[in-house]
Amino acid sequence: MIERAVKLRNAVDTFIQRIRSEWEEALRKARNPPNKMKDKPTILDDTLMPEDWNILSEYLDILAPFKEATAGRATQGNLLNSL
Amino acid sequence: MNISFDLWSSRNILSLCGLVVYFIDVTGKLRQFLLSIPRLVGSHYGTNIAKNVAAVICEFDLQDRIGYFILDNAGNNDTCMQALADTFGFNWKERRIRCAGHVINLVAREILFGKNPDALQAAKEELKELELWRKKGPIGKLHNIVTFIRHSDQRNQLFKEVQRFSYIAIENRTSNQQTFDLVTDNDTC
Repeated sequence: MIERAVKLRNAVDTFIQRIRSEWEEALRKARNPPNKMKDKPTILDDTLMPEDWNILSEYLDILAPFKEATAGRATQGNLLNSL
Repeated sequence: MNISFDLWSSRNILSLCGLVVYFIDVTGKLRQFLLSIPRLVGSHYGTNIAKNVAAVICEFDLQDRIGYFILDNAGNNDTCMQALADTFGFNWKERRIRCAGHVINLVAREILFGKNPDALQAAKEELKELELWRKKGPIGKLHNIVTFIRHSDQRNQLFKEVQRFSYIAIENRTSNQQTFDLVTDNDTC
């Protein structure tokens, strides 16, 4: 998930931006005349800031050796058996 | 030739618009056929649904044999019928029949469960879960983002659209379409 997200960072940022614009547009329309409001899209509270993206990249580096260590283990049997 | 259609989401989250026709054949027998279940691209506004329905009607050359429409009570079906009436020229109020099964179902559910308390409770629980994930930091937020996008076909479509756009913009790759489609399919589906 993290690996794909980092590759798709631009798309993720743009997606949230689009949702934000739609929401702000809806807010404007609702104000005049006062209208019943839709709920704020939850994704707007999950916006990833540049430092969030940096942390995700760091996680990716930290987790890479773990992924490598477990890759293929399911078919090979566990490490202890092979020793 | 009477028609009914309805939207729903399949298990792999595609918006589908099923269209069924009913008519009396030459031997006087009542027949019914499912004509088409196209994926609905874009919004669920009545005008957009009407476009899809009109396309099916034209594809089967039924323009001159349109009878009545049997639909559920969703509000967007009103605007959809108005758009269809504009396209094919009929009085939409007269041609719209409300699905009795849907009406009875609504009444029975209200008797059993009241005014939809389950939905309210479920929505609250969902918000609580999102909040828990959010507290876990960037990975939790990313989890919520994925959940949000995968919630409906419309959001999947929007994500695919911005993904396509940003891919072309960054890499400046307008050719090599095949690689690009593979990448989007693997990453969003």
